[in-house]
Amino acid sequence: MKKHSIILIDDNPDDCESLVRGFQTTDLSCVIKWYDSPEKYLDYLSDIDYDHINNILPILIILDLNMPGIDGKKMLGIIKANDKIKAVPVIILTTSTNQDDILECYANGANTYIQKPMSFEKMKKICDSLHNYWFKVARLPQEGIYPL
Amino acid sequence: MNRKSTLADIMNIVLDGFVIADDQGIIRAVNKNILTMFGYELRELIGLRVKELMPEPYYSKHDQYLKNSLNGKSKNEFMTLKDLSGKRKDGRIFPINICMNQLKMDDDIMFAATIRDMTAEKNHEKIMKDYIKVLKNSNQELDDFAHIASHDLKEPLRGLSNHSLFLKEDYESVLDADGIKKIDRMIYLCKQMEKLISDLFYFSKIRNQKLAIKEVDLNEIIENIKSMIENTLIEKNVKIFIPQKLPHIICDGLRITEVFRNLIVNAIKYNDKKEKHITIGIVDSELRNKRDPFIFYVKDNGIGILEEYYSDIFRIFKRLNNESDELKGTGVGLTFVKKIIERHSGEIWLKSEFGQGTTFYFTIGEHILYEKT
Repeated sequence: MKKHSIILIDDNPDDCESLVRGFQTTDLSCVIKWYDSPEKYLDYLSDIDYDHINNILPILIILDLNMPGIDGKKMLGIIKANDKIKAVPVIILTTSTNQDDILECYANGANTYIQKPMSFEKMKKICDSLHNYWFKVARLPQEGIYPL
Repeated sequence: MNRKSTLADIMNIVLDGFVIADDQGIIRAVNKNILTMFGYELRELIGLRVKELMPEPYYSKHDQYLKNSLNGKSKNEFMTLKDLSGKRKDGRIFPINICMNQLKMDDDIMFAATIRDMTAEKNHEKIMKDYIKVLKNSNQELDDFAHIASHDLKEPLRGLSNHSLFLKEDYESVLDADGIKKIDRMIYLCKQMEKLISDLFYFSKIRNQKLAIKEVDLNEIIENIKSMIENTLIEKNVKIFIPQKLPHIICDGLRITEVFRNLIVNAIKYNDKKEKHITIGIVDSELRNKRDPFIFYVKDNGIGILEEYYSDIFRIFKRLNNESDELKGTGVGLTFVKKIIERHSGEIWLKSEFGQGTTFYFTIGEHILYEKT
């Protein structure tokens, strides 16, 4: 059986490493798949068939906003318009604290908006909270996954 | 001395141009300033119609104006006319102000006018306007720069900071004590850098952000600060005195809290006395005119500040004392305080006796509308 996954879309490898290491300090049992551009994830998405029994929807999509090419806000729109994955919760993880960005993201279907923390200590806390909420509290769109 | 030459002498001591014309609009007398201002010789001007000194549309309107003035249709009293134009002999048009009156001399009606060449003033005005525009632009650019710089500098710094942490976590076992010390130093310096950038960012924010103005009770603000730093007050043996009840004022409460908090924290931090005293109050509240802004003071019995540093202490990132790494701030507290007070149209200044203590005084300008009784 395929393992559950979190999709991470961010062009900054340092931030990705920090997030992955942050999740490693929790008891997350889930692979994190990193795409350094929305385009690359869309390529992957065009080939996959989530109706097939072997393919499970990702648990979460974690999305950066400031990226070259398709940016995070545009990508959020694409995700929410895509029948394959529009039910997947999207977490915005960005340096932007712009109130307009925050409003726009929530209005367009983002489930959580998080400011990238300056310190790794805070990143660990964020990963812990995300893990607690999305894996232990919330019901998810995938059948057969229940809060622990 | 005859009357005519006396008049001529008087006309010549006027700083502006002086013209006398008769009821036909013919120039009868001028002073020397008029000659240079309009570029004529004296003999050319006497006998010339006064409207020859005017460009259109004044030139064409002049005869009607003169008629109205003589038959009493328009007011004949003294008047000042601004932003008019004069025409030189060479055709060049220049800005003038005129002050004129109708005079009765013996049986004749005359018109007397002083004319001021406004060219220099207008030029100054334009230069001023241009300067203001340049200044506004450069202020805007500075704000944008501080904002962008602080935002964009943070990204690589975050990576740097995290990687030094990961380096320590992953390779701690293969490094000796000196190597680990160096990594710790890197982590510390990253944190310092981050504080500086955050402060710079915050500074540009207090410069620009709209104030949330409402009525606040200063007694409440001080109480809040006291409970926020309660432990420090006990630990450092601090006594805060408030001799008279503080007023309600109209201001941005959060920002003014920050002002008082910074001043109080500094009064504790830079204090070598066993019992640290801080007094917060208003200067001369009895003598104060209702309309004057309050002068607040925060007085301590701390180490004091030498007069030569009075202005330095408000400079961003300027620190006077060499503290240990744990205590060390970035040197922005008083810069923020000053900026917040300036945003409230107020001023801040201080008096200090080295070794004895410091008193900071400040006003919170026009936003104080009333005092609650």
